[in-house]
Amino acid sequence: MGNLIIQEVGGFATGGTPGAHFRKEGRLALSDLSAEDRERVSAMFANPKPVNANFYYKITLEGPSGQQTIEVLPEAVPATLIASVKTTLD
Amino acid sequence: MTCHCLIVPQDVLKRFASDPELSEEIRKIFDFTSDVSDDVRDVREARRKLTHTVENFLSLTPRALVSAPCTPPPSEVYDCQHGSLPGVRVANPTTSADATVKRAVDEATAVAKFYCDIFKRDSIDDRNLTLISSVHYLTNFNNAFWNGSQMAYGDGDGQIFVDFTLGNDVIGHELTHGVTQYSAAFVYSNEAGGLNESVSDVFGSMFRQWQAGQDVNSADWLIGHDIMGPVAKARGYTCLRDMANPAATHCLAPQPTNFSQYHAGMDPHYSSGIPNLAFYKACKAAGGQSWDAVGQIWYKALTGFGTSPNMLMSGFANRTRTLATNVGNATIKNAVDNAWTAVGL
Repeated sequence: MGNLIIQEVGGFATGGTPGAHFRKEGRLALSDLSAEDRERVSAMFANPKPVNANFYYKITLEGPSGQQTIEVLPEAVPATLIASVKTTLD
Repeated sequence: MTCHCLIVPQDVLKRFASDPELSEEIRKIFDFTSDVSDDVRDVREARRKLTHTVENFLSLTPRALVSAPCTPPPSEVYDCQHGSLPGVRVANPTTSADATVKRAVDEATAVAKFYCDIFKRDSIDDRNLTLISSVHYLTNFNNAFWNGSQMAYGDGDGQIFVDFTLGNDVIGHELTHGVTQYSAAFVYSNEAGGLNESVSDVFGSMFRQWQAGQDVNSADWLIGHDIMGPVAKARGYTCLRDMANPAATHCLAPQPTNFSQYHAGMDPHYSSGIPNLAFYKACKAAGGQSWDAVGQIWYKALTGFGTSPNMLMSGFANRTRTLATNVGNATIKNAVDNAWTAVGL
């Protein structure tokens, strides 16, 4: 069905920049989401909008036909996706 | 404050609006709510654009003709209670038993005082805008951010990061995003994004130095020193970023030190190392306290020319060079010029 990679971008402590020693990422299978969250994710990818914000989420959908990445403001991201993001140190 | 109607997703509202099992009256309510939600989202973007337009207009008017005396702006704190924004408003945050709440309001007020005393700026919009801070955002949230209207602070996971309100440079950094929004309005991408992030580190660091009574030599120039958690410290990390040595190994997030390393699309939190280093070098060469001369030049470059959403780093550098020349002091002029030259601009 597909997998999601959720990355936290921006704010005071953004991770994942080149050479950074910490990352902030979450991974979920679409099949793990509730039907409502799957619907919301589907709507986000169907109508992506450019983001100009200090803090947002970069969400990548990996599916059989390839990858698609969108940028989404926090208030539009389902709580389940946000909660999946973990900070890891090298 | 943030609109509550955004909590229910648009597609859910539209589904209920067309559900034949609901009465017409109920369906109309959901349909109306859906329309309002669309409008609220559009208002947010329109507000950003309006700020841009208004700031362009007002920048043409001498501040003395439009300003009121610089007075402490109202400062509100909301407790997210480990949920999302906005949270529940805290009554009397200045006397709260919650240290996080008290720090948020005290330090926000202190940042406003810093801008007033040092730069004659009346709150982040120069018109006494109420400062809004939300604390205990989500659970173990390892970040803080400005969302266009307010600050939000996480508690950290207690391992890599601790409570983000523990860093006065964090609070100064986030509030400065508001200052930038209401002045130059740099976008959050490419070179302008790097300038946006750098300016927040610059003024966050200056605020930290001002509170500590430090000069350019006694300052540590570290960004995020006070929010390092025990696990990060145990591995030798002393900060997120280092303005004096952006590529240093003690940084959790090392940065480039020269514009030759820049490429389009670079993360602004990465590219900000270049102008950060320029500010540090200029301050060290000028001596004294960072806000004496170089800080004033940076402030004027940020706020004195209207909006410049897509400013290039070279443009900002040359703007500060011109301002430094106008100071009429060769030491300051050379300090700024040499600093930018040293970072490849």
